[in-house]
Amino acid sequence: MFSFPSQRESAVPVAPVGGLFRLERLRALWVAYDKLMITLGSGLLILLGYLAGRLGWPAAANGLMVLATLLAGYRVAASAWQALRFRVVGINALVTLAALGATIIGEYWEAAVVTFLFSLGNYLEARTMDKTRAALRKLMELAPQVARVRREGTEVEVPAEEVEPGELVLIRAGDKIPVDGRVVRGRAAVNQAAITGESLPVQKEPGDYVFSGTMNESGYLEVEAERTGEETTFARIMQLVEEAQEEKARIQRWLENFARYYTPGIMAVSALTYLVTRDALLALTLLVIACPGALVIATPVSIVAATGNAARHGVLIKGGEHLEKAGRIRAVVLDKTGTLTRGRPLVRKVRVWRGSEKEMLLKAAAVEKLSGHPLAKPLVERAESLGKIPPAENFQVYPGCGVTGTVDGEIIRVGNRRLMQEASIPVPVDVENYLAGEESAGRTAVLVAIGEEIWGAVSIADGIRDEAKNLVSRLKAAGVRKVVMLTGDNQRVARAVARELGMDEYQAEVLPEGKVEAIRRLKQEGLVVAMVGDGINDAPALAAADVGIAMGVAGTDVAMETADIVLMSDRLDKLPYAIGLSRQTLKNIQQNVTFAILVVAVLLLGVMGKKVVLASGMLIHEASVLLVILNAMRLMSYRNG
Amino acid sequence: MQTIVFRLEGLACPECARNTGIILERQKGVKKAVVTYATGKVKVEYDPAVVTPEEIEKVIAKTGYRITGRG
Repeated sequence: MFSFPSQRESAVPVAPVGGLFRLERLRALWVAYDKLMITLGSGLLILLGYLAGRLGWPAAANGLMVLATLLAGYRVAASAWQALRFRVVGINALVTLAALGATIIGEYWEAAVVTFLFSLGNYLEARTMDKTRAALRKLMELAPQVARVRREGTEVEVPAEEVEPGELVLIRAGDKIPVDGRVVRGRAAVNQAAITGESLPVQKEPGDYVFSGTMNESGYLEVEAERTGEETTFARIMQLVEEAQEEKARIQRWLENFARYYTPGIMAVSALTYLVTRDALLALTLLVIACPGALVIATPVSIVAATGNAARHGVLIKGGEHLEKAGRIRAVVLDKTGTLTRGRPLVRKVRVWRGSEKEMLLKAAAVEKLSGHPLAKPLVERAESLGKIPPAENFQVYPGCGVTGTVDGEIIRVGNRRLMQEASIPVPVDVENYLAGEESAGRTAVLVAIGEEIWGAVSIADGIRDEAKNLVSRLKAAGVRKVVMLTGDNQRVARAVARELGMDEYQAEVLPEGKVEAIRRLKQEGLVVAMVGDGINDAPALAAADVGIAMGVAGTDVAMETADIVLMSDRLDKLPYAIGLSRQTLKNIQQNVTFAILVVAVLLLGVMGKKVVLASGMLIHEASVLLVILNAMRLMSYRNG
Repeated sequence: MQTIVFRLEGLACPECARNTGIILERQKGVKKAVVTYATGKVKVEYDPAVVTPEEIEKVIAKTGYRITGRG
């Protein structure tokens, strides 16, 4: 699936002792460290040349300097020539010309230092870029290789991609899970860090979904394969990460285009300078210091560092352009259900006016168990924890009102006021007041009547995620101005949740089309809008926003395709992290570009004022390249929002 | 327009990767060429009526890189 063009570090074989193998090993070492060795070699020659000069042997000094120039400059010249044959004038050509010119006019020291510093810069740049390769390779190592399946009654080991959907895969402790599928038998703690970035293992039992590339830390699982090979979530992530590398930021494309014309332009200016001033050294200095090196790498290194950091935290940013845009986010629109809340209602409160809570819950659950209503499940779950639910008969549904049934011949009614009123069961004032109070707190209270009297009420609400509580303030700290909540729920529930979380705005009873409308409105206010959703029915809204952020989507392809940023786990605190990181990256790129332009400008002035010559100009120039790289690498250690 | 991906060996430096992209985009029939140093891949968008994948391969070979595969 992958191939890395030069698998340098890994190309060093562990060679047995023996002449031939030793030679082979040397060659491999050379392939792995050629750039470094060339740079160090020419540096050593320069040092020797300098010493020879101090000792008063000018011929030896000059000879050593020329050697250093040749060693460091050979590859530069070869690359320049290769590109020139296609009429591309790049940085390599500038440096070659400068070194050649300096040697011709007898400035051997200058020529050597220029080529040495340039190859040092190249080495450092390549090393930084190699870190992404290493990160990709590390991801690749996570890809499962073999799967143990049961075929015709016997267990066989087969390559992971050969497993067919529907086959039973056996996963022992310590095994990598080779497919996406559902657990049929067994229990295990599974480390899902490769997919979601969560470091703690997750308990898996029959019915749970497991992902390819995750690790069974302890326990045993039998999994029915659903998606295998290239179809797995893991394979899709790898593909997306790879594609993200290819997508350039707008600034980056612009700068690369700029360098295309700028470089030949500088040559013309340099030639003109020579014609006017007849000062060869000045003309050559101009060539070197005007190199757009720092400018060209300013953006890609920052982006590489940032996307690498994000990937380690289970956040997938699909390329430079999205990162850039996310750095400008001003408004965040959140879908309530499944994003701010867990999307799983729970019993929040039980109030009893008559009889015991246990008896009431068990009897209510007996009836509710037969209903498919979403509010029934939490009630049944709560009752199950209290005791055995009795069987119910004569079950009946009253749509929009509730359900009824009989337990031991007694009529049980579970539902709202209307259900009670229609059965002529009195609803006392204190019950009315209680219901109103619960509703304004954002909870749905279900009444339970046993026989002809109301026994109590069960309040059910979707739980707000813990991380949602300080989300708004963390987003504001990350530079967001407006946080808006959208929900299909009614006004009361929406208001209660929005108030509790400190939302700037909320909209209730929103249909999917309404979400797109709300986003459009914010965009018209001139804000860069991010939409956050679980991706299942948010796809149009994710696409309509400037930045679509899907969360908790490991496994849902649609969301992974439409979103610009994907939070693999459903931890909401990754949101301020992702926005903060993007903002920091944008800032980092701007710092780098500004700094690079400033350095070139200052150097140009220095050259004009005869304060800067070839070697010192190159030194400052390469130092600026190094600083740009170091500044970008700060993004690798960015943590919170 | 069609897209083809080549895997390259021996991309020496980020600058060389950029140059290879520029060279490919100069080719008639090539709309866009993106060389990714980190993955060693070049993705070429081309017009099959004007240029064939084999011709694109030849241009890449001339820039001094070896193609190890497609896709």
